[in-house]
Amino acid sequence: MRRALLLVLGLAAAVALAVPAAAFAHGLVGKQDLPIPRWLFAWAAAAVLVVSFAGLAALWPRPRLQSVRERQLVRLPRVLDPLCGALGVGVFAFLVYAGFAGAQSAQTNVLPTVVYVIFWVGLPIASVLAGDVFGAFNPWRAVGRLAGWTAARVARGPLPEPLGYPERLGRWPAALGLLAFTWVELAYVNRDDPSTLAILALAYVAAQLVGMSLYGVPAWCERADAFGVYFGLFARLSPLRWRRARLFVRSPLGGAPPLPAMPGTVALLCVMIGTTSFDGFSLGGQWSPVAGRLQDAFVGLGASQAVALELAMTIGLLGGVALVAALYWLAIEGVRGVTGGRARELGGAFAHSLVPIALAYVIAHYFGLLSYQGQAIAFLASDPLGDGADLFGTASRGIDYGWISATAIWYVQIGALVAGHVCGLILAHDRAVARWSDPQTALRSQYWMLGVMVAFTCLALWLLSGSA
Amino acid sequence: MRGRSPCTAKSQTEEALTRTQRAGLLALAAAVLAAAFIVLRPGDGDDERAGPDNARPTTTLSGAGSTGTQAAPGRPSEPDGGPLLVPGTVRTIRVSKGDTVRFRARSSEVEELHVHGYDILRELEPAATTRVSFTADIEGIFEIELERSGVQIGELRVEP
Repeated sequence: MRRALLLVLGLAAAVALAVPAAAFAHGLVGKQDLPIPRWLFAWAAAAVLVVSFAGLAALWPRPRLQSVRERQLVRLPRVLDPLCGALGVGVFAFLVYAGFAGAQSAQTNVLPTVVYVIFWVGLPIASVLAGDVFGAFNPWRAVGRLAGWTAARVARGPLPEPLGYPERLGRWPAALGLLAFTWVELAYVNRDDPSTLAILALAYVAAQLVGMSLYGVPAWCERADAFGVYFGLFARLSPLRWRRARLFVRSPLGGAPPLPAMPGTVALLCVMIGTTSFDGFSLGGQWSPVAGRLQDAFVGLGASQAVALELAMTIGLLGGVALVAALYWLAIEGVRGVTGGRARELGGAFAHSLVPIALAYVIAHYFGLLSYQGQAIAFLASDPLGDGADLFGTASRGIDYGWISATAIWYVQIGALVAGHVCGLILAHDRAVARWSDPQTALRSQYWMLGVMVAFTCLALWLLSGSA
Repeated sequence: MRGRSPCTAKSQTEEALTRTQRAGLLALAAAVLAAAFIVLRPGDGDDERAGPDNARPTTTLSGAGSTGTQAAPGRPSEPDGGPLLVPGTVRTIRVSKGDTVRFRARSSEVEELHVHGYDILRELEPAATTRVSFTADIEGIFEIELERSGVQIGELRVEP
């Protein structure tokens, strides 16, 4: 456990020195969460350590999750598939229209709230609860499939086979796509501008359509569509799985171990965890002085204030991702010292254990945003363009900031982090006992994984405590 | 337990070993938990309010209104209307839930003052001081902003 402690300490030091970012709040938010008080932070960190020790002592000695049986729950009419796709395309088209035609303000136009709150935070939670709901409504996938179906009808013969998806590309396009989205969310000055968001959405769809036409819809969507892959990863934690208009149940977490290892998977998860970390860090006290200095330096080099701030935020964002990646590969090196083998292969074999941690980060950092700004969808849906319409009679509703107390939010945040930590631990442990038949090797390899997970969880707690 | 029946002598030793380890680890876990409870209970003098909040020019004012005219150290005590917020600095007003928030605001131009979250709006006339007071019934951190120029002049922290 000394190694784990060292890791935690090293991490804390690294973060304290790490690249910083500029203080800002999402333009959407009227209220920021209070930082977790120091005593609760320390208590939660202690609980994480206790849970980890208890986990090591109590977890099963034989793998249980490597082959999970699924049971079919219901069969749905197949027509549901195209219907959901059509609905997805319709909603997407309307949102883009609202972005262009509606009021150009983040508060009165429906698009920014849908993108940053419903889509970015709401869908991961929905995916864990109900399976891959985004896959069913994915508008660009629906357009791609419709195009393929129509082309086959028109050509009256077999279409040329799509190109083989390059092995080495793996999930790298998804990782880069997600990094681009988080850059827009956290670093881009015009992040809240509805028409800019609409243009970016169309550009994203265009890129997806090109990819799908080159490599085929299934191959592209499973590997390279940033959002499809992102929500799909969270859906792997869900006990529900949708497949060809049939619904299956399986044990929770059971979908994560079969995650196909391919290049870019670790990078994708590091982007997910690292960018959320940076978002939290940039709201704390340590970042703004560094951001200010970086911004001044870039202004000195001839950049405008806005561009300088974007550059500073970009450095912080990349620093967050690099830090998380460094930690993970450090742990993998440690595992390799115990077991031997190739680092790249080992890294892929344990990547799925980061998925619950990434989900915990999303919930812990954005639960407040979802629980307050999420209410805005009631009045934005009635008046999506901000032009005074009242489609559902809810346009005059406001946001009730009092429905949940600050203390309750703290406990949700801590609960999510500890639960994510335990799930990550379980997944890594199960993979270790499946890989190494010698229980001592499996146990010793897991000290390293445990160390990195304690580090990730303590990092998240520290960020939530306002970088106390 | 049926799965254990074909155990060899070797794996039994292993299981015995791991059982000792498990007991040890669980005991350690219990000790850590107990220590955590004792050391980390709230109210042990942790002062959450210490330390700089922000790199922006920020002044921290503890309490307002009903908590008395207790001013931050080194500052002249505030008159009854509470701290004065003007563009150029971001002052932090800290209160506990249920307290009365009192502050004054001034701007050299016609402005609209907006306390986010509470959605309190006040018109500011040039060079006139406007007094604002309300009960802090929502916990959280809220911006106090001049709506027209988009300049933040204060931060309201309502703690449980």
